[in-house]
Amino acid sequence: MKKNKFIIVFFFLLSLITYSQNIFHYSYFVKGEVREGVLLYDKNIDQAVYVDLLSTTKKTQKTEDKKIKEDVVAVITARTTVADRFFYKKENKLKFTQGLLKTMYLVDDETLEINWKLDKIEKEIEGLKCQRATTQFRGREWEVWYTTEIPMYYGPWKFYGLPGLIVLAKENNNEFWFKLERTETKNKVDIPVVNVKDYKRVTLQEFDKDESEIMEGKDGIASRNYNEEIKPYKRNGVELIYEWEEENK
Amino acid sequence: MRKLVFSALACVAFAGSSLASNEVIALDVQEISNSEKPCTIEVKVTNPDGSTGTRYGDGGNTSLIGCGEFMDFYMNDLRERGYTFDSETDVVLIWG
Repeated sequence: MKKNKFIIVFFFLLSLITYSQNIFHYSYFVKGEVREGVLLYDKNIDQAVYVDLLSTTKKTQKTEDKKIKEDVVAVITARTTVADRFFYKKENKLKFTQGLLKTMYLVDDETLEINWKLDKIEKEIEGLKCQRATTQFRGREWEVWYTTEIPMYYGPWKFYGLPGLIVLAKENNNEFWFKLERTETKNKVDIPVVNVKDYKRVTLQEFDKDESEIMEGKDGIASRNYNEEIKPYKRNGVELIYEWEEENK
Repeated sequence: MRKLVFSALACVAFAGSSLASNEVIALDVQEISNSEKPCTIEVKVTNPDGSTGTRYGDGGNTSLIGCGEFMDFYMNDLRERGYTFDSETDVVLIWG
């Protein structure tokens, strides 16, 4: 009887170890604003999703947007979307959702490739023993601290491919960074499913073309009855250059 | 948005009153609201990855009130095109 009890307890604990799953909560700093993000991993199908919670965006400092030129009466900050983004990851394959004005997109980031340099530098962050990795990814240098105490191949945003969970990822101009805020353990993690039936399915290159046209002001010009001048647009976000542009350099 | 215009007018009046500690400056709000100046609204368009583009809405020569009305009109037009504004903190209006 005692032996049976032991076996039951043993299998119960084993099932907890096997099936308990983690949810990782991050903050994402983007040029003076901060928002929350969640990384969910389903061990059973080896798939992860990072949810970029745009609806939680807060300002952390006064940005240059507030500088007023003498000949300008008002400055307005407008956004192309406030819809949360979902980054679906399986191995090195990534698809993400994003709104662009009134259209929702499902974007296949088919050229994604991150080459990490792992070194032996270590430091402790929030009680976790971390090791350093660096990469040059799409025009920006990143320094990333990961911990093998939590084996996790997937990271926040588009990151993947490290032997442990990303605790801190900093872009070297300090304009962008991700920070692990807390982890949550659950018996089961449900990967959120987005109904993409009416979404426009595009490659990243096609999406970039549509987005650049909007940033260049090529949206509904014919319907306006006033003049609008557009400053020439150059990509200045977290990704500066894409693989197909590097090839054409 | 109109309240911003009136706030701006109030600021002008306040600035005028503080300057007037040693001399009397008559600030004619009516004149300010009627005088016509070029009206331009600068819009920073931001995407979720931090990329920004800039555009300028040209409201022509108009009064401060007229410029405020153009700003309302321009913002509504942007909203109809699908742009969003987080709150009124994303809008700054200065006159002076």
